[in-house]
Amino acid sequence: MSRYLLHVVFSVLYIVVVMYVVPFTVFSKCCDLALYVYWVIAVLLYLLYVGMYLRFVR
Amino acid sequence: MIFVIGTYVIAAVLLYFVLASVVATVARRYLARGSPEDFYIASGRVGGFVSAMTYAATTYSAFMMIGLVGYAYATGVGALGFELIYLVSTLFLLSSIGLTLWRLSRELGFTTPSEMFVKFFGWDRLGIVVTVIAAVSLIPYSSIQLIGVGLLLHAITGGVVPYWFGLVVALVFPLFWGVVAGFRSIAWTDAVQGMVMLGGSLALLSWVLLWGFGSWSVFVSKVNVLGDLLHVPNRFWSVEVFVAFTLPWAFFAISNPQVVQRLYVPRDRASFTRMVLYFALFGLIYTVIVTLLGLMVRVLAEFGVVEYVDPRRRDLVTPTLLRYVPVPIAVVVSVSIVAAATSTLNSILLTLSSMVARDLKYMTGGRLRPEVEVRVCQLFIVLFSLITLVFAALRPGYIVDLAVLSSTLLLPLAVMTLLALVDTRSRYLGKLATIPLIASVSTTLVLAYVRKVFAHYIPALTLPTTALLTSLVLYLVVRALAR
Repeated sequence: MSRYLLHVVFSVLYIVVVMYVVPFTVFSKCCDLALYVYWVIAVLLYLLYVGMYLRFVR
Repeated sequence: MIFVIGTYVIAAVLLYFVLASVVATVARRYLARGSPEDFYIASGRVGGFVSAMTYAATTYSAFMMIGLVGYAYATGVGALGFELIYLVSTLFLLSSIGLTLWRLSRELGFTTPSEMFVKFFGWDRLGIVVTVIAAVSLIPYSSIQLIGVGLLLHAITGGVVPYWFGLVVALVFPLFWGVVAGFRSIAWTDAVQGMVMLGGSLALLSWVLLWGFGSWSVFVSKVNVLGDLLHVPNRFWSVEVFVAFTLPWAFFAISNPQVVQRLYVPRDRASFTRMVLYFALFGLIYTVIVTLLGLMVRVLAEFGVVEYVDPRRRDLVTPTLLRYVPVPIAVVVSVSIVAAATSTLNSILLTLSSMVARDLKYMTGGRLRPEVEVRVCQLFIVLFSLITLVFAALRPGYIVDLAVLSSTLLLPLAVMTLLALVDTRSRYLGKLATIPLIASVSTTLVLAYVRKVFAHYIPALTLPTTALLTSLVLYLVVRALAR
């Protein structure tokens, strides 16, 4: 599988699982700002990944 | 008191517009006269920072400081998720398809999104169809930006400044920036506007935190009063509503012509990477600031520190908050909201006008002289501005409906772009490519009208799903028949 296709598959899975599924399941009853912090960290990690992908891979 | 704030706001907005106009005039020195490519996309030679700022200022409109603050106030943390899913999806699209489109814009030489479709599908008149779809979707969206500025200036001056004055002021200056040096002046003023947007929102958040809570830890200790607003699903964000909200925005980066055109401007590969990363950082910081503001104001409202705004009237949250804020901060925030609205507005006007001018070039078989093409673009900037002004002044009901629908109506453009990149034989489709485009947009419009009448029987997710599936299925059918 090419690196480009891997990037597409990984990204789609990341968006579906990390951004949609986990917040609606794991954090569905959570309190404080836990979900808020989770979403922000999830985006930061993806930003880091895209930075590395654009810089070193593609 | 309101009159005093209003006077300062009007003075600050006018001063800000004059300063931005100076920036636009300086940008004109670098304009290659009579070159449409330079007028539309600065000949694709823009650095990473300015590319990122114009991308961010174009993307983030007055919706952020008015609409998203209200959404976070009314619906809780889900509003953050909704906006961040847009950001992550955009990052994904920019790092994959965006990079391909940037490369193709150099190889095939397209400068407008309509021209991109002409090159992808091999029919000169296809650009007209794309331009009409873009105009139907984006002129109402532009009018909403103008309406927002008009209402803000009217409200903050206690009604002393007439609504129409705000409209004219918010239109005349961006119109001037667009006409004077095209993309270059718009990109430079966008860079200034982006910083004003970030600075204004940060000033307001800092003030609310210190005035309302004293420290971050006090805010965290009180935030549990929000109850189910701190998680999803809750009373507003069901799974279906969340997906229906996020789906059209997930494709924003390849569906909306004004941001697609910005993919052509970075001067090299490194500038493109910097554009993506700086934009993402800007978006993340701005989104966090804006949603935190909404949550903080809601906590303060629950404790009776500020007036409680009915969540159904969530657009009033920011204007209500501004009544408590010291004059200098209220002035900075108001200018930042005006900046957000005008930076989106001028980018849309230039993109639509450049699409029309380029369509005209194709219609005349390429015989349109470059300097005439630039004049046509300038003429259409004025014309589209006037249409936007008329819509904003009259405020017909369907304008709001179309503005809300804009991201959904543009979805078929995203699908067609994706398919053109995947399907190596797409350029043989020619005029057949109009079928999925026109049919899917028409079906979505009809369904939106039906849903307005029978809202309870048609789920919210139906509209974006219809736009996506109709264009996809019809493309495959047409592709099969063409074979």
